[in-house]
Amino acid sequence: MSMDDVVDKVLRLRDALETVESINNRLSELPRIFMVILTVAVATLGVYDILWFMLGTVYASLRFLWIPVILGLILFSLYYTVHRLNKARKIKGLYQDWSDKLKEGALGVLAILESLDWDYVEYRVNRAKSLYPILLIIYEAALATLFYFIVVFAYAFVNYLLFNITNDPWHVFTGPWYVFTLAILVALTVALTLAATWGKIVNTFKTLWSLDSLLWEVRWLYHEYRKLQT
Amino acid sequence: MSTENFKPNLYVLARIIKTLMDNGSMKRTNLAQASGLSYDKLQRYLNWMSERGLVTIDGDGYVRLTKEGAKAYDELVQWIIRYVGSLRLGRR
Repeated sequence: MSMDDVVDKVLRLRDALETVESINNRLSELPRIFMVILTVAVATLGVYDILWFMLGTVYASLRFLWIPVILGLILFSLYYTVHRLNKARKIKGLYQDWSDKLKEGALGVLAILESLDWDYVEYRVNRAKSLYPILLIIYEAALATLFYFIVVFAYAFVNYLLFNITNDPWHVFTGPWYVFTLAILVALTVALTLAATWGKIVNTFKTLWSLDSLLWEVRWLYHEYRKLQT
Repeated sequence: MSTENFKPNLYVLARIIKTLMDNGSMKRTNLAQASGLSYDKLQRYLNWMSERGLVTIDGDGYVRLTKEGAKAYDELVQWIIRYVGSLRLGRR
């Protein structure tokens, strides 16, 4: 075992801790996302209600506006959730100076070990490990629903262009084959979602698996380091 | 001054020893500068180290690394290789 191997191990530890931070960042983002979506929904529906109250008797067609409003709110919520979770994935700062420190070899490794807040690391690893499934479900569900809307609209549009039989782009969803059509679209959505995120899901499960051992490794190293300090 | 309650930072300790290994014996002010420490902080570390026989300070104020000091540094490096090197973490 040489110092190069040690440096490689420390860089692996950094990568694992960055993954943990990335998961924690996204978890911390969830309440904010919820608050923004709730605020936008309440404000939009409030404005719509006021408009309807003031102008509803004059412009009767305003009553049909609720469909695009609700649709817009749903699409906004989905896009905003996926966008914010992707943005929160990036790690800023926390372990970025490790590469520079490691150029010093053994001294750099000691500098890193001294600078680590072990209790904080343990807390963050535990939090990431226990709450990651929730994050995964929310992200995949939001992305799948977003894809579903895109697939449905694309299908309706193509169908309207190619087989404009009834002059109604939505007739495939109301005709006798609608169950069959919806099943195909759901399957297509699932396939698209998995194609887009399969690599991430696999890595995620690897991460979940490794988080447990990482926790034990960190605890063990900390214990040995405390012994060395005394 | 007793250093009983003083808990040294291992990184700082190793840096002082490494500076002495690279440059040989040094004046305290030069050592403080070379290892990037304030004079007061270096003095605290030197007191602690000389009490444990890791360095000696002669009458002219020159700090010299002892065999024990060099051995302590080697032990630190060996500890790093042994423990950090054996961390079981997935390949990047």
